[in-house]
Amino acid sequence: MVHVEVMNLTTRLSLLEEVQQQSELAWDEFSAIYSQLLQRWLAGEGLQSTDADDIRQDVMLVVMNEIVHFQHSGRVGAFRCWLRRILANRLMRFFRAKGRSGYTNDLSIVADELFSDDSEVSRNWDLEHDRFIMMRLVESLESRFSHQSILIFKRVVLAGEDASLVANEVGVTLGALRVAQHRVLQALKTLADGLVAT
Amino acid sequence: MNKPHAPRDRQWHPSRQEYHLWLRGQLDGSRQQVLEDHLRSCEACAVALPQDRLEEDPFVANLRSLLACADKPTNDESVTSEACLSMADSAEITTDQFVARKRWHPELLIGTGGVGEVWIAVDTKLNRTVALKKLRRETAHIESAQRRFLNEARITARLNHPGIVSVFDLVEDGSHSFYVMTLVRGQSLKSRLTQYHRQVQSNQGGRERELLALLRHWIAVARTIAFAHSQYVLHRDLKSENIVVGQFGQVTVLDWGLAKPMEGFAHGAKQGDDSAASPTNKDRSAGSITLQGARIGTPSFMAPEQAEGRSGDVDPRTDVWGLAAVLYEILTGVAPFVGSNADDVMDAVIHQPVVAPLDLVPDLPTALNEICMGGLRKERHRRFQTAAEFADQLESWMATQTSRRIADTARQSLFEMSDDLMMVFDHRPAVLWANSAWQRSLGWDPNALVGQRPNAMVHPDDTADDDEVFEVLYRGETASGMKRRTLSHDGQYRWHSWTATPILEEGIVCTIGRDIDAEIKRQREYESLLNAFPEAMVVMSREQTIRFVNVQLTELFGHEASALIDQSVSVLWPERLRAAYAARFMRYIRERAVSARDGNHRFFGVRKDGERFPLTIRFSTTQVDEEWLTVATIRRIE
Repeated sequence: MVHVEVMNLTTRLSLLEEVQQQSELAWDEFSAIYSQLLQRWLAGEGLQSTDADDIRQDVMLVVMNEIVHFQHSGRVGAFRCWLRRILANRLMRFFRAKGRSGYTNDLSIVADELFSDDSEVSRNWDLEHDRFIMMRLVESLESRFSHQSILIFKRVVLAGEDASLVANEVGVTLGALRVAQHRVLQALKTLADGLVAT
Repeated sequence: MNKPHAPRDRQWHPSRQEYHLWLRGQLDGSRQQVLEDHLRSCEACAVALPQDRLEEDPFVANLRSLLACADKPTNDESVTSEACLSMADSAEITTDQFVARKRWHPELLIGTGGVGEVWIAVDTKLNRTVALKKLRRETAHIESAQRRFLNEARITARLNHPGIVSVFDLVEDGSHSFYVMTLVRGQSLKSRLTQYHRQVQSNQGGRERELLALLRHWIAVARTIAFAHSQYVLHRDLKSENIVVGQFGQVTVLDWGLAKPMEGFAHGAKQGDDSAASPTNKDRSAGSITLQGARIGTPSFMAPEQAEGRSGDVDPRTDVWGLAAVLYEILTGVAPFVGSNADDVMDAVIHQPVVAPLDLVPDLPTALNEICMGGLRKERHRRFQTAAEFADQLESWMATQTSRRIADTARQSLFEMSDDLMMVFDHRPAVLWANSAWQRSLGWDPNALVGQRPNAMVHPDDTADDDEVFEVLYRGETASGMKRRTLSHDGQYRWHSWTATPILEEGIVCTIGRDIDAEIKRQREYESLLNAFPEAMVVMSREQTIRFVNVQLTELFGHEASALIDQSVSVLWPERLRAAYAARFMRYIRERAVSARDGNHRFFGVRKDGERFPLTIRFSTTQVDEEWLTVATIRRIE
């Protein structure tokens, strides 16, 4: 697999686009990240782990079947909103089928709130989504770039350290540092495009 | 090229605008490469680079705030280097063996395969970008993986062909071995064909052209494989992901990781190397690690002998199957066998019949279907025997296709230039196609005629015998000389003379209508002039066939005009006298001078009811449209 898409040497399509083009590799990466996000979120809302498993699987199944048809409106957070509605829908169905057995709180309220765009639950979901996805995408870059490039990126871009200082410590020219920093940042932007509101 | 932005020295520098485009990610691949290669070594440019871009970038601002609050309370806006570094404690400043070697500097991991991973790397000596393949950390320590890896490097290096990457360097260093090769830029055949099938689904234009382009790429792949076979090398892992189509249409076959020298032709490689690439049954446990890895992604493209693990049966025809599977995917959008897991797929490869491409794509040319299936026979002896033969077949189909397209285009333009009305209809009968003469001469949009009955525009009084005409046509005979009035857009009718000829094997009828409106009108004028003449007249040819009679003549002889037209004029004479009259007539007609001198001639005529009566005839001869016609003016003698 020695090929690079013609458009740009360092960046590919966004993860979302790759998934929509039915790349199996991208789907594996995507589903690993989103399954984890859903699991964490559902656990955070107090669902028992077997129930959370079921709902997560249901949601991922819908996403898998429908993502090809998902059209990004260009509006900020269109994707996480789409996902949030699927999640709300599945939660609702789950509680309709199961009732409140085993739960002291009425969790269908959470589902209701999740439907509404400006509820507290939705705002938290949005924030949690962006934070988690971004973190995992940064992690996924680590397998795509050399340790050195990643280190430069973290120190200069994330931590805002002085570039000349970092270049000195790492032992590269300032120009090489700028190239590395730029490439990793571009790759992250491309990867995150459409998934995380930026 | 550009105005240098740091002009203190005489060296060339990218312009400030180029740097801005680069920072925004808007430079194309090659310009980006040039700029980055320059920036790495240019102190002046690095220092002059817009410093504040990072702080201005809303993406970075958002990123910093998102990640900062990941492990901290949200109200704390400050980001320290420790906080962020803690997320990647594994990232240390390392000087690995590649940096130590100085020349090849891996930069970006772009792909991972069975045993190796591929990096974009910089050749610091020649300042160019290359591809570097090294062992994957997980399997690097396994000796058989190392051997396989080196085997791949040597085989790739040995195959000197435009469709295969060139190897620049090989460093053998146990688990740190790597080799360096051309960086192939382009789009995988997989993504090209996926795009094509998406186009087909959404009914976008340009489909045929794209299919032909994909088929040409396939031929290049087959030729590359044929070359490898000529060098006694089998690929064994052909799939559309392993084929890259470059910007200029150049095709490269990648991933010779499973390639192996053919049995009995250990050409240039020691027999010992062979076992690394082709595990024998004894060796299976070691080989299966990598084989398994290779199988997982690609059983859909595997030949039955591979799926069954009959490694002794793997030969060039195994690659023929692989080529056919790629062709299948080009034609249908899917691999010949798919399933939810590798075992199911392999089971299907062994036991299930291949679904013909034609069953998935009903409008596929049958010849293409057959060529493709010719590579997908489970028994090797029934497949195409060589990749070259396979490529030849498709190439010759493409050639006929191209010449047919040229002929079609030429024919189409001739049809469109014609002033005659043309249409093609089917058995229903409904119009399938009409030419643009319909627009030019009658004002009808040819496309609006499609689906209508072929005589939809014909005057209702002229369609009486059309059903009979259709019957004649469907028997396979040509029908001609049908005079019909055809409606024009302004409500007027024009006369056309139609000829129709069936093409039975296609189940269609081609018709062509010549405009005879002016001709018919002239004839009508001429008829009404003759009818206005007080005496009976008959117009005949040199052969004495009646061409026209006026009203006075039909009244005199008691015949309908239609019963006389095209008959011999002798029907007007008593039977006994016909032979003699014919001879006299001949003389009058031939020798126009005689008729002019002799004036009236006496004859006997016979009415339809049998009554005989004496008459005189005056002859005059005239030339109409190259034909000599004789006008006989007849007067009854009372």
